[in-house]
Amino acid sequence: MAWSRTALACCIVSAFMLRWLSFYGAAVLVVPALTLAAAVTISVTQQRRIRDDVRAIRQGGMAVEVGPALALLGVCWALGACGLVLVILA
Amino acid sequence: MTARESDSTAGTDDPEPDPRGWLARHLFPTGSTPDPRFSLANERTFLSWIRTSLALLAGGIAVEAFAVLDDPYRKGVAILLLILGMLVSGGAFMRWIGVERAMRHQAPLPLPLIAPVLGIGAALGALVVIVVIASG
Repeated sequence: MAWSRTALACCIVSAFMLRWLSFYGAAVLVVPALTLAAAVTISVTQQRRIRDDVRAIRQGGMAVEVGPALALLGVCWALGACGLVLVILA
Repeated sequence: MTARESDSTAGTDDPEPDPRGWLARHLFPTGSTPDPRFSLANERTFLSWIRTSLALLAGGIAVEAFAVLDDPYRKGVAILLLILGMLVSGGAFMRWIGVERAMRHQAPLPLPLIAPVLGIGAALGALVVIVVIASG
């Protein structure tokens, strides 16, 4: 559920970014599209993640995945950087 | 339920291949695999901090639209929230790595520094808003 809530938060933030659509035009859609893609990726990989987690608990060990965490960090920083640029330019 | 034996293959005659990815092998080169429930709990905490970061970013984007505050203060609060959001997400990732490393070495968990940074930053932003609104 934690990943699902995170995907939902990504969707909400990407909707917030649409506020600048009337000011800057379609170019501002890049970052919300990226955030939405992150939300979709999280949702699509949910079943595989649950399966791996259950297997890890049964076997007593799991291989930590750094990639998804790093990708989420990248999405947050891209959102923040884009927001800073748009706020300063507005 | 016991943790796996050390993932390090040094000194063994017939080392088992490390099933972890390249990033995981380089970020967590030593130690033993902890109880998966602890790793999953660590991941859930990381995701909670990321959601906090996303909320701060959304707040920074939204506050810039409010006409209640005058321009320099509105921009200032928006920039503060956006920077705070980025710091929280970065801190969350570093904390996730630090806790995972501590668990792999059965060491004490690192100090949580995100909470005081977030608390001070949020208090600062709220103070600015209160002062600006109160001064009319």
